[in-house]
Amino acid sequence: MNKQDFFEELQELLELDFTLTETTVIGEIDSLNLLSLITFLDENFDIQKTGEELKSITSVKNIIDLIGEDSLS
Amino acid sequence: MFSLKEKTIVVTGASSGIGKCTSIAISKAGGRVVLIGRNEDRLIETFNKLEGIGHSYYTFDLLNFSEIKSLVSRIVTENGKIDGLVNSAGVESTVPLKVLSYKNLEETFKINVFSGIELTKHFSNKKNFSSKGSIIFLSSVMGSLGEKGKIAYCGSKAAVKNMIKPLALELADKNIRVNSISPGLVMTEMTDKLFASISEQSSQDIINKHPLGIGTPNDVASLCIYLLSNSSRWVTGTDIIIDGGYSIS
Repeated sequence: MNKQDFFEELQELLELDFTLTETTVIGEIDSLNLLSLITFLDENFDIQKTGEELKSITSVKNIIDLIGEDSLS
Repeated sequence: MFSLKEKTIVVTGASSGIGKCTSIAISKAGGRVVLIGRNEDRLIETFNKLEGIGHSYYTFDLLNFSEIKSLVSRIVTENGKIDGLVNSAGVESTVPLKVLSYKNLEETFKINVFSGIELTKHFSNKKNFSSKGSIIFLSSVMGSLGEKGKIAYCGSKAAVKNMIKPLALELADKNIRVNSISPGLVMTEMTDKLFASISEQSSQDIINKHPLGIGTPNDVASLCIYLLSNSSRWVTGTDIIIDGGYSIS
């Protein structure tokens, strides 16, 4: 997945009204969206995380750090 | 009569039976209807019976699962945000276990279950759905009961009437209500097919099991209007049986 597709899919997943960039602060993610994010990371990047592990995520950069810059071609 | 004024409602399976009747009833209640169906000629037939203005129709086969997302985008772009969705599309077949194929099961579940989930998934995105809304799934009393040769149909309708519960919970935060309706035998083209596939005696036995007689699509459409209206604002996650007393006899 390239970076642009990643931003768009993440925006759709979290139903955000604004366009995402690397520096976007998302804020606290609610529990249902955390579950969606767990599936998103697993299916697209083969990363298995628990809700507890993702609880501290508040920005796009946090998620990129998690999946690794190299995974976004 | 409950009012659906200013509401835009999408109806699948709109070219026949309960879907057709519900579409016409929505238009009579003041709503704008977006019809979805496979057969264009029959969709136009339903379209021409709608009252009021602003209605539209989309010829689409819900077996084209991967195209559902773009269909939803197109509908919202052309009609604005949606206030209601009636998942009325359904298939019914009588196939005994020994000849039941995966293909039959897959097609039944794709139309009766999966397409409704996929439509709900995309319509319920806040960019597509109004802040208050109602989603209806058509289940059947067969989702609780059994009939020989109805493994796929009964299984799919049972899935529908239970999956609305987690859907209702997930969408409550968005003020979107999700309910299902379980009709008993209603005289539609699908019922004609059912009667054609079983003996006359079996048909009569089924009819006799309905204390208030066989229903009409209008009976179910009236319930849909209530569930789509603001009068049912506190009703969610519920399956409502409407069967002329069939399931208690």
